[in-house]
Amino acid sequence: MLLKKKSSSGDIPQHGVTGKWGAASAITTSIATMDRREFLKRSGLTVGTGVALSQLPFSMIGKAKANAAAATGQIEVKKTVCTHCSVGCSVHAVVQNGVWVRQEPAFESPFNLGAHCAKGASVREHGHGERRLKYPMKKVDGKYQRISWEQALDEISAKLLKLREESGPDSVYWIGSSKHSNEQAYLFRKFASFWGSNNVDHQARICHSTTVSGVANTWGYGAMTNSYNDLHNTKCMLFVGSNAAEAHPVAMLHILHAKEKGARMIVVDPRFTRTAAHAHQFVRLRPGTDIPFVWGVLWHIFQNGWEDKQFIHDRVYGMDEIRKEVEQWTPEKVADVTGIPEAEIYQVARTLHENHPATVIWCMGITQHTVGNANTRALCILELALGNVGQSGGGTNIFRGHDNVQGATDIGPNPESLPGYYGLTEGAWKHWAAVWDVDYEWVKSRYASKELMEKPGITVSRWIDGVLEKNEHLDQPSNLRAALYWGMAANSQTRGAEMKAAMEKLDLLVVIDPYPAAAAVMQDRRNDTYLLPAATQFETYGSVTASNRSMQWREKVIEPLFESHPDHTIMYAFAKKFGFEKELTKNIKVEKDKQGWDEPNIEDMLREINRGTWTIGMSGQSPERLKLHMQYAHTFDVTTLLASEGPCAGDYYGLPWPCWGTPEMKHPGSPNLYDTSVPVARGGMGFRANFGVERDGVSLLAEDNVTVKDSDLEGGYPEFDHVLLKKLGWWNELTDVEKEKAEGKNWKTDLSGGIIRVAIKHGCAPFGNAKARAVVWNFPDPVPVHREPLYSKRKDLLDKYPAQKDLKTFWRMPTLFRSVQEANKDASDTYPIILTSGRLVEYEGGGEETRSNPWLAELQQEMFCEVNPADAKNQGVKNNDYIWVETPAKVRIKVRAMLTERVAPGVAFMPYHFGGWWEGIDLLDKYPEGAAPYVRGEAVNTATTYGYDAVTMMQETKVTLCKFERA
Amino acid sequence: METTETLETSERMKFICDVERCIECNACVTACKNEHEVPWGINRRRVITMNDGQPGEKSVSVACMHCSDAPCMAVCPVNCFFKTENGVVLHDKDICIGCGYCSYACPFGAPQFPGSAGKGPGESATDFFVARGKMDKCTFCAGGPGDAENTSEEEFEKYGRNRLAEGKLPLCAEMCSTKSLLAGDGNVISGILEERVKNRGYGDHKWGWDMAYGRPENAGADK
Amino acid sequence: MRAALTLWLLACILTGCGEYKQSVAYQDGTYQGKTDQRHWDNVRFQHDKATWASAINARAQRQNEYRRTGD
Repeated sequence: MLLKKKSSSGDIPQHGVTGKWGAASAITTSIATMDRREFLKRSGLTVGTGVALSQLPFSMIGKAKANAAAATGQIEVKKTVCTHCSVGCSVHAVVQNGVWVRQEPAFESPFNLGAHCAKGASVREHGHGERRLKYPMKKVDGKYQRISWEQALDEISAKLLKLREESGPDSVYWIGSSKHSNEQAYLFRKFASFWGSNNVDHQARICHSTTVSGVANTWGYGAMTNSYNDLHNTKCMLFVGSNAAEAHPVAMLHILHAKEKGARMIVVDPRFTRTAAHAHQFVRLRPGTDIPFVWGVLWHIFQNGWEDKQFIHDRVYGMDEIRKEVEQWTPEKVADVTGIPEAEIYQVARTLHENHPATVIWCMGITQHTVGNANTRALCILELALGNVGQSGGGTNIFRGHDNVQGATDIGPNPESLPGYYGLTEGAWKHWAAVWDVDYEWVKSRYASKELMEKPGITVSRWIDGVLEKNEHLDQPSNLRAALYWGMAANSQTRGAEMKAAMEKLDLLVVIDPYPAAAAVMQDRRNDTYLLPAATQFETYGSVTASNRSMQWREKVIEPLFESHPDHTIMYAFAKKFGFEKELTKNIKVEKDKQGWDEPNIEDMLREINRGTWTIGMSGQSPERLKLHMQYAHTFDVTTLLASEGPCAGDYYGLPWPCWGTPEMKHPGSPNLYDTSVPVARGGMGFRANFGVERDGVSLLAEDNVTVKDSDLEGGYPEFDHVLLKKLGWWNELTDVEKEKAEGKNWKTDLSGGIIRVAIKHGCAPFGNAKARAVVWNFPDPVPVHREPLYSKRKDLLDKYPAQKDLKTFWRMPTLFRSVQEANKDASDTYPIILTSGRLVEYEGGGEETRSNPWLAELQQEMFCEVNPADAKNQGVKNNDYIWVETPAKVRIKVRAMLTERVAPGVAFMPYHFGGWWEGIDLLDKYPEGAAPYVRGEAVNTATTYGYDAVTMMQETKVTLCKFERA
Repeated sequence: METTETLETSERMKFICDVERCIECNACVTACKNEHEVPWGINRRRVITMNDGQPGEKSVSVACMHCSDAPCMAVCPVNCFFKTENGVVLHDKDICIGCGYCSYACPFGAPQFPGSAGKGPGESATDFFVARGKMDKCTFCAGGPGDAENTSEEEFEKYGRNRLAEGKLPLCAEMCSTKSLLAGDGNVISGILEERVKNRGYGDHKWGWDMAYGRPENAGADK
Repeated sequence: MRAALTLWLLACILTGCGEYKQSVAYQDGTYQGKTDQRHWDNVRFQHDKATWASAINARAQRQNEYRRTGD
């Protein structure tokens, strides 16, 4: 029996990783580290057992006084939501005298039923936050010094205004966060707009941007179609590039429940993941060959006539073109390109055929590729061909990453769109200006030009090129001169070495975060660098959108720790400095918070979101309704998410969007998208009519027999606007007030919500009833085709499957594809190992927060690289040796070798949560004192290479090349 | 699956880890740290993975199993162990001399010794054979003996929370991500597992069950 | 570490010797420590074991998601 556990496998040297058991039956060989004094006190060896400060375990120090007092205080239970992933686990925080003293399982929640993963079970530690960034800091000649908030705000805003004056508003890059609440993320986009720039982005760019655009362009909305809970109804789960056991552990509760009820489970991944360990079938593919895999499966489906012909005829456009492409992907060819044996592909196809409905689950393994958008579409097409979309148990269950990445994508800081996917057209601006109650001309005057106002900004994956690229190559007036990292880990973006250079070239770098974050230490700036302490989501309140589009309400657990402040109050403070605070909060009350700061009212912000976000139906989730759902969470069914009794009866938990119309319409939310068997008023709908009504003479609307239940219109219909309403003779069903607002508008821009109300009254989805597009004609590859990664090991395939042509201006900058591939066609001679990256259960994202939590940090103490024992043997590397891993970026990082068959020969894997080391050197000294995470290590992204998706500028993290040797 | 227990042995507290569900997420470990403020380096609960990275990979969450015939109790030279009416194995830290015999006797590696003095988070351990300090282990969230009232601050400081006295079960099990780790009365949690096994038709193995609760010679020893 | 291992191996080897039961048996009533209150000796459970037991058994069912999914 081989016993191994991640970095601390069986044969760790005695002085290696601490606190792990080699084996269950062995003596505890490694004795852990801790402060002896502290534990002796607890164990009764010392005299006296009081609760003096020094006797408390370390995690309580700092809060100890309050804790001692807490013993007598009233106990309150605050309901909040875990901040670590998109499952949306409820957390019950026990608070006494303002101190978060305990955490109890939230059994009532239909999402997690009390369950947590390691991160969720330890969130209370963030409420103590020993290693938090405690005060505003400023770099003075290379050393961080404490300054006051006043000084920080004065200096930063003065510098920003100066840059705005000199180089225009587009010279500043605003990096927002998927960890902001909906209201904060929304305010951030509004804030950037009033600053006058679209140079704003957040984690979704490097997380699921390819999903959002690929899936939305296929059938309307770019989100998870069903829910974690709906997995209970599936008969087959196909995971491609998703390691739920580590990335979404509580999802495994629903997944394994489904498996127990008979669902088949297939995991497709280059690694034998912890999720794969629970699967019926594991399929190992070569990284970057997802499309050939999907086409290989479809080849068998088409060959055997296993496709759902009726569904394809009624609800899908362009499947014939897919057929043509798939025909080329014979089993033999698929096996050659993907490395998957022919029989295994057939087995997958057969399982999908025999187990209906099947759902497809994907994550970063699909999205983070140069062909990410095409990957996501290929999987949608697979589901369409099988007729699995639009029903319970089917769909594409796309697990999002951060706790509020769905919400921040919907209404937050996106460079290509205003909140609600309205885009940046003049119409979009006028819509939002009306919602904000500000003059459109005033907003326009904030921008350098109308052109720049309507041009998508630079993406977060490329901001470094906005600094480093020659000015004449940029599609904006100035290079970037300042960057604000407002809740984002720099080490989660690729090309770290170049990022360091970009950071050092900036005039100003500001990091606003509860923890110092990698951006604070990875650069060698001397001055003009600021760190501002932000509060966590436990120190404020507001709504958060889980992966399944359900919104939940977080209560404030504790007051902000140290000198930190909630993000929206910091935004408001900056707005005051910039002079647009009145416009920013025209419809929003501003009150003093307990720290004496001006706080824009969260409920008011959500109400404003409701008033403007008709496109995705984020209009019905009022703060009052969301609070009621949290209070009555126990009344919701764990499989259907429907409340059958109590004040929420008839609602779906968290009112998953689209929750059409105004809150007063009481729409229950839509649990499973595109389900025509349910009336629109109960969450049903067809595919969205977002791509016109016909293409080359072929109708894009659903066939006549696709009638959404209880609809007054039979078959397909276009989206609703005032003209259609009049044509149908329904116009007079609007009230006079509604008529006035709806005149000349469509369902997305009618601020009265009347068009939506009347459409739904007639059983119609406001967005129409159309076909899904198997062919996305507005994308570079309308039919997804295989393209070899830029850094490929199969140079024999490069001619046949080349990367696409370089783009001269793409999101404001030149973007290279084929020229990089050609320049590196022989790279695998020097770098023979494929390098991929991914997650560990204990950490999240860039990991600063979780590596600063001792309960988590203890579990993963060192950065490592998984290498196959065969490759290690070739290099004379033993388990746990330090190795240098070098990539074609010519950057070397020093990590522990972990020998494991989890990766195939020729493939290496590294987790991406580490940071705080730089090319072999621990940066401990560079952190503000006492604020370094307990665990530091090399960031894999220090060494990752160039490569971006041809639609969304998603970064390629999943395939590059490397070599390694003993350090 | 064997059910050596009879109905009379009600409220006999046990752990089961359903290996078909354990995904090695370590929630049980951090829940324990959270609830009892267990310091860095002391692990009342751990997750062990077998055949890591290979087909057949299985994980199991391990802590004190509160054995029916607990070897630690048998070997303790100062008799600091006792068993509650519900079969929870506890010890008196004021009596414990930190000799470490229990750690050799325990087949699950449950006893933990704080003494060997690392310096804190991130630091490495020093030698095993220095003063160990008093033994610490999983209490099934039942606190410990002594003058201190159950659920008092004093009991918490020395032994951790007393959830059983609050009518709650160990937090590790209550927070388990996949409800793999079950805690509670042996019959009740056996019933839960049985229902699952019936549903799925595979994997009825109750990890550690034989060794901790049902070795033939000890069957019914906890009655 | 090496010493621990040696001891362990020794223990293993010794276990193999002889037909006698090598393990020590715990004798009831030899516990030397302080007494402990029972879980139900408090205000909430009013010293009633049955009340406590039913509370704890109801709680145990929260670990059973089949009770919530109804299948």
